[in-house]
Amino acid sequence: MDLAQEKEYIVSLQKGDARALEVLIKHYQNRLYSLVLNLVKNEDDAIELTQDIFIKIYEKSSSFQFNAKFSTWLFSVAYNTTISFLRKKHIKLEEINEERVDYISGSYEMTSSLLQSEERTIYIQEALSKMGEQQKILVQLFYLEELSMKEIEEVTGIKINSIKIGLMRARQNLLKHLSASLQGELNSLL
Amino acid sequence: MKDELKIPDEVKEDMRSTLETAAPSSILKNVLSRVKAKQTAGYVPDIQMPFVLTLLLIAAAGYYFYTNGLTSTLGSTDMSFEFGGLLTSNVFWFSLMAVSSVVFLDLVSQQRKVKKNNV
Repeated sequence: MDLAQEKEYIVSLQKGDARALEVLIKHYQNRLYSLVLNLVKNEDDAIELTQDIFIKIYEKSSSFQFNAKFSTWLFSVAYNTTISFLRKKHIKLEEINEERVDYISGSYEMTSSLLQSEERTIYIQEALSKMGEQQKILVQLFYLEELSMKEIEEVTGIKINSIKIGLMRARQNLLKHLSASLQGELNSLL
Repeated sequence: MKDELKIPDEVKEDMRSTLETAAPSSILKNVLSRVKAKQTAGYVPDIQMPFVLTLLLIAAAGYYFYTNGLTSTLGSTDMSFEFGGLLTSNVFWFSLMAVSSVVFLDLVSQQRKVKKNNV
């Protein structure tokens, strides 16, 4: 769906068109559900929350003014709804560690290209599993949704400096995992 | 800063496959049915037993006071119905007020239920 088409659907949604909502749900449901699931870590809660978020989007669509990207607004509603849900359940998210990020030498491109695809996937899964929920969300919004840091700040309310540190740390962790696995591969060959 | 955060595309794809999960089809189905229910729902009085009993009580009290009032003022057993007399009766207005209050409270409680379901 291109931006012009998306705008048409949003305008129809603002007029209460349920068919436009259906198209937008089909387009965004996987990404939204994943974001919620990565935060709540429970499938039933994630399903319930994703439904509530889409209903909110339908009801509040008239308040969307086209000043920002629709996806930014959508993720913002999703993030805030999920955080309120977690607060009600007294679940606190792991804060981003703002300590200095040490520079790790090594080429990311070289390391990742030397590893076999399946091995790389496993090590990336491992690295991601060790990240806190907030850091995972930053990775998802920055690398997968390609939101800018300013947009991520709008969605999550996390300050840009913390976002930068969180992302740098996530990237360093990934590189560390990939380098360690590559070292292991080399050692086993020698 | 952009270069410091750059990662290769194949790593991004691996991250996508790890972080993105397909949403169950029930989400779309449930959202659409909830939206449809919202579109068709108007005000439907919630006819429950307490509501019906209150109305019956009001009707019985109204009849009792009305007939008593007629007997005491007219001093006769003539129970013929007079519309003008009904409109000047306090009992009639009191009953009307009571019915309105019950309907109003019922409406408010329905609205609150709808709001609660939306959150």
